[in-house]
Amino acid sequence: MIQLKKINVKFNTGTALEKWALRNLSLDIFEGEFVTVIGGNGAGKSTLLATLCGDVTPLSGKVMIDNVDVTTRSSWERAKWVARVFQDPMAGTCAQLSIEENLALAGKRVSGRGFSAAILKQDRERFREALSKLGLNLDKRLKDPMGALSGGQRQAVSLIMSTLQPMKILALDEHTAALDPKTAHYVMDLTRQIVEDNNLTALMVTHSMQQALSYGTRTVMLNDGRIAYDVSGQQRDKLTTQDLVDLFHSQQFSGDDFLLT
Amino acid sequence: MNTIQFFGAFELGLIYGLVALGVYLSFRVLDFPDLTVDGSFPLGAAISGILIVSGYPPLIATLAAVVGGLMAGVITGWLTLRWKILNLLASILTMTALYSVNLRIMGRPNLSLLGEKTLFSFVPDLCSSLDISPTFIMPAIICLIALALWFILFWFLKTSFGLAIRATGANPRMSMAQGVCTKTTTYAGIAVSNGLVALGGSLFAQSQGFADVTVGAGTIIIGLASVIIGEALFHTRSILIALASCLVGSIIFRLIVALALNASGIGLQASDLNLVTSLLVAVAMIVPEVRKKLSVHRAKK
Ligand SMILES: Nc1ncnc2c1ncn2[C@@H]1O[C@H](COP(=O)(O)OP(=O)(O)O)[C@@H](O)[C@H]1O
Ligand SMILES: [Mg+2]
Repeated sequence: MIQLKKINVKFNTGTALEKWALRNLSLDIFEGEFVTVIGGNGAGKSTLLATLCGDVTPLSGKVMIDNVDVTTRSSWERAKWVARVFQDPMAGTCAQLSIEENLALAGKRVSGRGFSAAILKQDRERFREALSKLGLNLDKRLKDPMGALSGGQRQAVSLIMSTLQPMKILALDEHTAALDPKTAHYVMDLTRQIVEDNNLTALMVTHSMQQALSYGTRTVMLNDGRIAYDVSGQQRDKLTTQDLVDLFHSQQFSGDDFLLT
Repeated sequence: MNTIQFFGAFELGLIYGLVALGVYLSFRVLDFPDLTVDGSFPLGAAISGILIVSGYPPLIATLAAVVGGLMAGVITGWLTLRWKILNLLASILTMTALYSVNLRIMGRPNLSLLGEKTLFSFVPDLCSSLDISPTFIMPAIICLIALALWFILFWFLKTSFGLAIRATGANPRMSMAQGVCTKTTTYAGIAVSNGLVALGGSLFAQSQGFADVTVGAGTIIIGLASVIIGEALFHTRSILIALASCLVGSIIFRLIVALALNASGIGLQASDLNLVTSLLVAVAMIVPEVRKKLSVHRAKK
């Protein structure tokens, strides 16, 4: 189980730009849950993920993964438990390295690295098999540089990379936001398939209400650093995007805008 | 240029090829502009020089030089990683300090190793028994050493840890997300880089027969020039070839320098080396920029 306990995050302390990004936020994510997170611009969605992943250390509060307190562990240490896919396809992969080298790097996320060859024959077999699931013919392009792939292809490979080693949670921060609608749809379906096939626990930030409801098992709405709404199960099944929009207005959400898609 | 000059340039090119490998590792692989090398090259020369003069076995003296280089790299890494000093500035601090350290190590500005037992003391005997001129033997031996290091470095970068070093330079954020402790990889990369450079300094002192605190000046530019020449010759994504191109680039650099200095009529002196080198590096960095401008210009038309 992933637990965020009374997390407070403040940026630019003591300046005019001082900003509470998360306010006393608590969230328990149970094993096998696929939580989608929505909220207006600046609501704190990315900060929530960054706190889980270790990019941001909270002012107060605790981050627990399976009862291990990881609050002060750095992001590379938490990679043992947390797999990530970034919003920017460039950010999550190494353009200069080949596809197989990217996979090999991710293939040691948990196990750590030594001085044996980074890529062995059996690794290649494994990579080929994993990539062939994508149906993008990438299994024949193991030696091509990652930079030669399109944004959508890179996000797809990022998802494959995350599954090469065990994890406690998969963290996705608007990982389809940089893609065209058709590719975004493909990557979203792939995400769902990967989460289901591997029985993953996932936390996915999205800017689209429609995505937030049609994917996952639970939806959390953030507003001004707090959880404004948390829905799952049958209640969530009945929910429409219009309900979410109404909720958004009724709560007088702050934030610059809210994509009503 | 006569044969002796040619082979002399070849030999020097291979020795500085180790510097080029080190510079490639820091500048290109790790994306860490490390100027420590201007201090770690003479550090290698100083450590092995003083140990050899004091009667230590040359192999020990050479290994000690490598360890000294590793440590110099670690200090630069520490200033940057622990104290968040800008990497370029951190390396300048180490380099500057090393100038004094090197003087302390040697106890005087220069040491002569003529007549001392060095790694290459067996060469004259070998030459007389084989009846070949040392002109050819020395470059051949240095060539073997350089090839060995070329391969070791290749192997290193192809290991899981080496891949993590390469990823750290290319995308540190992604590397951390994949569980790479980028501090460790940066320390290791900068240390190995300076270890290689110090080994170059040690071999330089032993093959040339002297150690001098001033031999370090311009090492970084020479190394960069070699890397850039190599890159211009081989556009490659293969690490094996990229590393080889550092060695080839260094040899070509020495040949160009030897040609320039020997060409009567231009009137260049040995002391013009740094000027010529800097011009070479500057031109090599300006050309791609101009090309880009030109192609943008053309695209607009
Ligand atoms: N590194 C940072 N430095 C300063 N302010 C930040 C930083 N990251 C986020 N913020 C601020 O914290 C708030 C929440 O940001 P974020 O979590 O990125 O929102 P979201 O992802 O929901 O759009 C915003 O007001 C943002 O400006
Ligand atoms: Mg965001």
